[in-house]
Amino acid sequence: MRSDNRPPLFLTISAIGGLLFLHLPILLIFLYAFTTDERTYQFPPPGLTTQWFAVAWHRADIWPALYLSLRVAALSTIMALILGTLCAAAMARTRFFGRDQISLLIILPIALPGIITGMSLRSAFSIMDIPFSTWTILMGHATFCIVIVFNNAVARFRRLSGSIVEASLDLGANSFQTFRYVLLPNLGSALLAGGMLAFALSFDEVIVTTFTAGQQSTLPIWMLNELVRPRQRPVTNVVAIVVFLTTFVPILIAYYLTRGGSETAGGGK
Amino acid sequence: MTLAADLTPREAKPNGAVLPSRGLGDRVSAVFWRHPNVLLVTLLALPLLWLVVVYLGSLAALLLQSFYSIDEFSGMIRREFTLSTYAELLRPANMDIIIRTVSMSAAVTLGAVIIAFPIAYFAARYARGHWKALFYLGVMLPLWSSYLVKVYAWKLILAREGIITWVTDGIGASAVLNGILALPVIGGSSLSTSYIGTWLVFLYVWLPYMILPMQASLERVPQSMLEASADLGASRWQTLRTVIFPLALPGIIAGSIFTFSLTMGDYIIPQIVGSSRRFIGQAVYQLQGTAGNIPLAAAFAVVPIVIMLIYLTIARRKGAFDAL
Amino acid sequence: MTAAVEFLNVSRHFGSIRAVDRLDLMIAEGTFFAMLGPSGSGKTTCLRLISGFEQPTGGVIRIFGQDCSAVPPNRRNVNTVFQDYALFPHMNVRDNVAYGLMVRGVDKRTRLARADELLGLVKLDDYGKRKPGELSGGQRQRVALARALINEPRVLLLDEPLGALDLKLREAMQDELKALQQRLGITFVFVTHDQSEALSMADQVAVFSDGKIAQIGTPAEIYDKPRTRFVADFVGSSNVLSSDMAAHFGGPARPASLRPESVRIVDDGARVHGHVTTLRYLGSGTRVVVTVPGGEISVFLGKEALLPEKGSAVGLTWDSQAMHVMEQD
Repeated sequence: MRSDNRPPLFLTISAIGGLLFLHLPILLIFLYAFTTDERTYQFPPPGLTTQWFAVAWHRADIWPALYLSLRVAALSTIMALILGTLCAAAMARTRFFGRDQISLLIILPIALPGIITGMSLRSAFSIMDIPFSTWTILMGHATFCIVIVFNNAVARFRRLSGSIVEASLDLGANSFQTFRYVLLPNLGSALLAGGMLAFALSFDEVIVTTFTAGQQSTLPIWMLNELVRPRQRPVTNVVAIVVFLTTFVPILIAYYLTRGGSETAGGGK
Repeated sequence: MTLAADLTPREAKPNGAVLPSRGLGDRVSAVFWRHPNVLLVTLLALPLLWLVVVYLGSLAALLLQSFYSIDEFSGMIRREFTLSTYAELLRPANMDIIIRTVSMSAAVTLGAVIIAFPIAYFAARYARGHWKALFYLGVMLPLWSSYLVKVYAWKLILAREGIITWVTDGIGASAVLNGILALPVIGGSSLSTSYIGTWLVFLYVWLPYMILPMQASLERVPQSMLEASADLGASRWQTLRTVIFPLALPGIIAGSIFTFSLTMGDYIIPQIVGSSRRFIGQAVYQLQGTAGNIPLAAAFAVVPIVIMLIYLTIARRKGAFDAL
Repeated sequence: MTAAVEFLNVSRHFGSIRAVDRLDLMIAEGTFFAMLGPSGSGKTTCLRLISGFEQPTGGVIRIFGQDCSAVPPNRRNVNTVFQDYALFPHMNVRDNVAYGLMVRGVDKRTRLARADELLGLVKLDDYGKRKPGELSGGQRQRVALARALINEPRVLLLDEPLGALDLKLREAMQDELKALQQRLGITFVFVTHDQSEALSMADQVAVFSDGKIAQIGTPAEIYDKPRTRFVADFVGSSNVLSSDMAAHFGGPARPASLRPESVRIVDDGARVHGHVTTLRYLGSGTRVVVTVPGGEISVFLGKEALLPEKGSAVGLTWDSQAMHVMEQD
């Protein structure tokens, strides 16, 4: 193989095949949103129509679910931004007793399967007799979104030259001025990226949510119900497209905001 | 002050060694400076309070619930310490669920290693410039994009009237498909109701979690090491087996932590694509919901935690955490 | 002579490590002061104690007579040129330089005009609009210098400011820094591990070793009259003669240092005879190591000198006053 930089054909085919395997299925979602077949998943679709977009628009059960999802995603993003940035500021460059335990604690909600986070919250709500509400959903979402913002912010903190904070203090700025004029402008895009990813993650989350929502329905829960007991199948596809794009766009933006860094890589959803 | 004289003349200003304090901001900063721990505690107080109270509190509640039991007559939770709920896990029906879940997790992990390797190796060794970015984005986007949409896409693919049937019919391979579906245990009436279908969807959904750490560890293998192996007369296969694979192992283990743990905790994929036989996740979900048996649901949820702790202990010994 | 900076019995410990250990130091106003030492010797910690980024474990630090123990860095009239320059990457050069005035509430027009003056001082008049990322290492260094001078500090601290520059640029910047210091009259405190830099630029040099000052004095004193074996070794590789050898050569029975360039190879009247063991070409001359009874003596020969052959027998001599008796081992 002597420093030849041409990959073996077999490897190229399996690599590209693997990538296609990751991407092609999503395209089917788009195709099925236009099918005229409402009862089965027949392929190829017997005919094409755009009527399902109008039907979806007029379905009264979709709008409250969408609204709830947006509200939860927005609120948990804000909470994650605040809590995650605080953690990152404290942990990025200091060493102190218990530091490793704290970083484990931040990562744990996402390292353990969602069902454990969900079931744990469910157990706690049961023990403390807390009724389900938007806030119970939010508690779960904010908890696992913290790590997303934290990862992005910590990576950026590490890339910044350590002494710019000292330089700012040295030139007469106090801690608040240093945060306002030096740290915030440099963290900005990383925080925006973290916020985007947190929003996407929360908007799409279903496993933890089913344990903390009670009778409430977020958009993913609505979708899940449709999957288990389908009514108008193409309408589900229309909603799936909406969910896909609502998560896809922020992810793409986050990628461009943090290119060159390691913020999003293996961020471990 | 010669500097001032040297440049523009300016009005005289006090120029001692110490500048005056300018209000609250300076005074608080001075406290942070004198006592760095005050700053640390100020920063960490809020997030730690949240994580400890909400998250650790909940985990404790989970453990606590698993030691409660359900009163068979009233259906109410009996809040007394008991091991009887854990004893229930040992019933054959429940053990089946655990064994089924662990086997599926292992099968998914194995499949992910095999499919991820060429992608990760290609991206780490041969992809440059735009191709590199494309591969990275190509793995990252599916990782982050909507879980439910991905699962739904596979429901469409695997359906009896779906694209796979259409393709196999088209190329005249329906006998092969039927042969596979006729296999005992892993077969079924259609792909979407068989273990094969469940396995495929799991594989698809968790594959990026295997590719990324694998690629990261492969990128740390110096090019010169591969060339050294080739120079010493090793064939490609030997290089792969004796040099690349051992070096990629920490990444593979790191990835397997994700695929294993995520498969064990999932309840949506087997619910939508698969036979009616339950996995741990489904058991937890049904027990806490329709059955109202929160203690048993909690005990079931502890099982993946224990298995993962054992797995992590082994992985740590193999140095897998460097690749995370 | 006023003391710009005074250390009275100052210590800074990190756990069990004594980075700075019961140190006394006086830096006179208007001097160009170099802190010289290997890494880990405590010189950078000393600089950070003056700027306020470290706080002493014990002792008192005075800046122009004022005890600064309770004064945070932002209120000390002392500014720093950082080793990596620490320019703010999101600001252009002008805003970087004006930063010190901005955080003090100086209005925009005044502070930018002043920034332009300082950019003129460091000969970067046309670079105000650029971002730090678009500058070369030498230019960044000048921006860092202008930024640190805008608050008119009474002491300017420089943390290995030339370390990242290549040799030629470094020599040019040495001259410029020296000229700038003389022109401004500000006290410069300069940390370096490069002895030639310290000797060529500073008025006073403090040689650091293990958190203490091994010797303090003018460059000539440090070079010619090292007090300890460490100083003799670190500041130019001197010959250190054991007390037996020193006594044998007519000095008191104490260790002595002997600079290689003070030793001559002679045919007649040699103080000692030996064999050449190594010849090392150094560019500006050649270093000849001669094995003599009781040890080795290095000789530095200029370019025009005739080189002995390896293994040949040679005689060595030097002037009596070239042998400097050290105070401690």
